[in-house]
Amino acid sequence: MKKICAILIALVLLIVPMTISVSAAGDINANEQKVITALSEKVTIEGKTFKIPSEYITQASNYFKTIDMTEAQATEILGYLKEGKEIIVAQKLTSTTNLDTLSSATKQEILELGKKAAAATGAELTFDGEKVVIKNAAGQDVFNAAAIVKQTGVEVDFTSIAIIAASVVALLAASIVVAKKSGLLVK
Amino acid sequence: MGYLLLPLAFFIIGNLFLYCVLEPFINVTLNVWSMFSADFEPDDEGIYKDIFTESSLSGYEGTIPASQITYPAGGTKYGEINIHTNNTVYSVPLIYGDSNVYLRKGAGQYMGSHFPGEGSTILVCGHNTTHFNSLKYAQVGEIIEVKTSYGNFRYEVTDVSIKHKTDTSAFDLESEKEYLVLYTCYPFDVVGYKVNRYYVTAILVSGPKIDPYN
Repeated sequence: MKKICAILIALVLLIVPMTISVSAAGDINANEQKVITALSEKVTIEGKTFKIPSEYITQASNYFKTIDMTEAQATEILGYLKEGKEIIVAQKLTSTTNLDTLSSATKQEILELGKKAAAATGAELTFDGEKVVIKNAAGQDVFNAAAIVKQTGVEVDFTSIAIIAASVVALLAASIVVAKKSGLLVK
Repeated sequence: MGYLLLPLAFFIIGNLFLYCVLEPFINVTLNVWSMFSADFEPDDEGIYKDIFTESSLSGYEGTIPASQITYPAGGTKYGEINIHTNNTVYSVPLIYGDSNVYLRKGAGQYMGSHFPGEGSTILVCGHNTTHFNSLKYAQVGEIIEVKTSYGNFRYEVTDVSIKHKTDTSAFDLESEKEYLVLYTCYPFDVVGYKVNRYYVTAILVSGPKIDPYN
């Protein structure tokens, strides 16, 4: 569900032209408020409701503070939002509160829509299979769907060490077998 | 055949063992060497920005129109956190965004949390061995100050707790009161993957309020 919500937010963020300076007004104007309101609305699918996580909406709001959205842009954004919602609602979900049950094709359809919107505005949406990240034209993050609580200690990747250790054990075992066959272990 | 394979096997095993033991030091050595041998100056300009300047509104308690504030995008230093404890002030750069690359430069604010002065939760993390190592000294009742270009904010520590990394009960991102929540990996000064987080929660004591619609 978080992936889909992230993509929906991505659609919104990416169709805003990135040509506006970061020194633009930091207030939330009426156009931006319309979009935030739309994002905050609960969506009902077959009698069940879901909503975009508040932390995603806050990310969108924070991004809007760095731009000045025009009415035309807001209208376009709301159109994309509506399209995205319609795609989701049209699916026959086994659990309408969990959008992870969407088919891969539908997820891909929404993702491609987001990427097209990104390309159209000079921004870049990337999806690494786990999370959506959006960067503005200056290459700065404006949205990141990573987990809220981060790993903040020194991270050690034990994978390579584990592989090497397994290889060492395998090699040792093979050596013993060869040594036995060669009679080297006989007193 | 065995006379050839056995020494060869032990040679390989021995070297792999040495590699396993020395691998962390090899990377550090290579990084240090590349720093000295590089014939160009590292350019972080594309990743990091700095819009922080000391506010002339120190002590101001009124309302600030959001339109007068320059908000940061990811990787931008927009403030400074000063942790006052044991008659010492630990100062940490405040970066917007908390991905790994930003945390090398300072404490990172989760982009899905709010800004100081907005009346809700500001969630900030930092490395436990560097920028937020000082969190271990924070005690209930002490003051944490956040300086931004648009104003200075003072928070009083109300709680210190240790939670599992999946336990988000230490903060409420939709809170209607302004909290500064700082966290880092726990235990401190231990290298390796950690499943616990050390949280320091502080409530706003003084500072200006932002009017988001003006």
